[in-house]
Amino acid sequence: MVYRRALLQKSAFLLLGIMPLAGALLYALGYSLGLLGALGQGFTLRHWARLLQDDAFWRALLLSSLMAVSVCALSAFMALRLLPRLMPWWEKKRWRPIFYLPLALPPLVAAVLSLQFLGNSGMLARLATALGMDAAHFPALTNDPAQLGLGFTLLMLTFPFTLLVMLNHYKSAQLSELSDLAATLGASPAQIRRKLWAPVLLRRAAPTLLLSAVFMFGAFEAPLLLGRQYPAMISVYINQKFSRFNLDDVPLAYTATVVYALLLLSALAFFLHHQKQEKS
Amino acid sequence: MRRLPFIALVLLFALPFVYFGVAAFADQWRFPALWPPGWTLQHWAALGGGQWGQSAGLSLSLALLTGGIATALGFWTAHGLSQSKHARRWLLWAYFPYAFSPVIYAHGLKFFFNSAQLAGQFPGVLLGQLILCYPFAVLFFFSHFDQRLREMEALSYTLGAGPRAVWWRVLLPVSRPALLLCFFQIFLISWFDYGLSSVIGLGQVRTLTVAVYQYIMEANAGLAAVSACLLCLPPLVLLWVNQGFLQKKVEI
Amino acid sequence: MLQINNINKAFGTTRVLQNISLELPKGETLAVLGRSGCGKTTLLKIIAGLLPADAGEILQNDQRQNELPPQRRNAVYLYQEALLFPHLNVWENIAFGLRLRKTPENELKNRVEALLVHLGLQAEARRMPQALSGGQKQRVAFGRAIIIEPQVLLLDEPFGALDPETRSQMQDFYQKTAEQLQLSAVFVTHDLKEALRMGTRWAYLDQGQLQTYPTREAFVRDPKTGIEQEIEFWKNV
Repeated sequence: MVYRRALLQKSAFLLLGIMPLAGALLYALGYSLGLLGALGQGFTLRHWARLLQDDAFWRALLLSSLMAVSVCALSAFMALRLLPRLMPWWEKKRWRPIFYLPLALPPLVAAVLSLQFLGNSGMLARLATALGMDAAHFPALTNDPAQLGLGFTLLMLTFPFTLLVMLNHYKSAQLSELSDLAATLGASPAQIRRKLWAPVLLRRAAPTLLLSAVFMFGAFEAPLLLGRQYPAMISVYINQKFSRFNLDDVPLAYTATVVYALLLLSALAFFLHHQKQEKS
Repeated sequence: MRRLPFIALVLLFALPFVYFGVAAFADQWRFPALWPPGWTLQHWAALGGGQWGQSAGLSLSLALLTGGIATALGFWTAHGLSQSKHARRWLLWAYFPYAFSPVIYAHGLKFFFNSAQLAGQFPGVLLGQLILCYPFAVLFFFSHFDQRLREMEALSYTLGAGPRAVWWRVLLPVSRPALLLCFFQIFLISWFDYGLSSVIGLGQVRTLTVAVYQYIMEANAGLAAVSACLLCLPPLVLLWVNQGFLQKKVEI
Repeated sequence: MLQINNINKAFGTTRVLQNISLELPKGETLAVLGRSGCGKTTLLKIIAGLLPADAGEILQNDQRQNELPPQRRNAVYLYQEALLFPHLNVWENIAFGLRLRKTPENELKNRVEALLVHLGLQAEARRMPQALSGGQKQRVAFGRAIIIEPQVLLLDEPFGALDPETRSQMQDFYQKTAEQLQLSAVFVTHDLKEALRMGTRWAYLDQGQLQTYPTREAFVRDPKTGIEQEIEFWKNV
């Protein structure tokens, strides 16, 4: 009975958890090798060669990586800097919901908000006009070449979550008690922050930060509304290739999907390996 | 001065809700006006039979069904997987679909959904969201079935409870808070989803997020603001009930 | 009566139990002394049916138990932690086993009330487990086990998590209850004093091998148990 149930449970996971993804990836691999799909004419490495020569693909990977790393690093830095100043309010229960408020914001709505604030006729442009600035000179902050609007939006989505994680870890790591101890050993407040809080909190928040980076790497809604067509982030790049009328782009999209999956799998394997080592 | 960072934080965090709250009632709020010249309920008028009223209903049904089914199934599966010999390997295979970009996943699945004639249909989007959320539920409950709960289960057997009684009288009631938490978190994943719903739904299953995107493309700021308000409503209610409902337990 | 013949158990290449045999007549408590990792918990779990034995036989009143699932063995396993059901109050926690057996409501009520008196927990009957002290929790766990009149109680360091004073009170309580209700139990502990106090028979488990002793004296005298060393130490203080 118990064994039969365990078998059923594993089968359910295989069927609904693993098989769809495995199916999608095998199909993508078959397509990328010319074995499947409307354009499949037998085994070929042509699509792989084309993808690897596609400048837009490499730039998409680069942009996604840079965004993921810089946004996560910046949100961790901001959270660490602000933590001592925000801790007194976090400890008062009645202010706590404020810290959770951004989690109620869907990513798409956050992107729309940035669009309505940073766009050419957005709130910032209106404010600049009201202050006497010529609207024509207002810098483009959405779909801008430096992708500042996109970066800012991703940061606003990541920072509140990182801050919450660190605030939670502050308590579980007994940093308050450890700080008192460090002070009796002669550490100044700045030293306590730099030599105690930063290493302890970063170490504890590392798995969450890594997962955030993985999610950021595949972010879609914000780059779709605020990013540029070229270079685009990887989700938008793949989405573009799938959605174009040029049928020749579809095998490229599938090939890029396989590459994305391989990168993700490597990141997760690293993450789980790291966690296992931490635990042991 | 000491209060400045906190005040800035409050303003920043509350800003989206305030802005959409104002924009949803604003009339003719054109550039370069800093404040709406007048107020209207016109954007909300569609609530009864209008398009976004239907979108809200659709999103709600999807979120409730996805939340309910994925939570139940994830709970049941994680019970078995977490005590398996290769638990960590199963964990990797649960993380993989969970961390996969929903829009890329949806494109990968689209061929199968097209073949099964599920693309562009409500059941198709539901199945797509289940495929997306079920691994999350498994991950969620993986750590829930800890040593303590296992010992409680074993103790119940020795007290004379059969497998059915152990599930209905011990595991489920003991896990009620976790089940509730998982349900609400999956509800929100489904409620927030745009990428998968737009690809599998082919734009024909017009969930609230799909509607918001379309309103933005049509430059219909009023309806976009109303839809954005509606999208924020359930999470705000959950926040009011219990802030813990919003913070995903992604660490295992 | 519980009888165990030549039980063996290995996890991979590690042999955890080797040819374990013991007998436990009704109304007796077998105190098994052993250090952590000696196989005590594995032995209890095999008797309870929570783990299968690789070889050997478990008999209760001459009936073979090996193939029975834990819920049909009538052997209750108690952990170091009380593990009370957090969604049930004290009354319902104690009534749990009787409800499973569909005991008529009147009889159920009488038995639970009587046991609550015996446990000294009448005032706490409607409290939730979270509101109880460590000793009270452990007493409820005892009540929940003994109300179904198990053939044998399997106690895995049940007082290990309690402070010394509560621990001593619980030891008194157990002794009285075991005598009064003629309980049969295997009581596993790493505490010398507790083994001596709780047992009516004694055994020593080391590296998967069980040695039983015919008398308390033999148990005390065996240098392996470390009791004589302890006595020596106190004499020299």
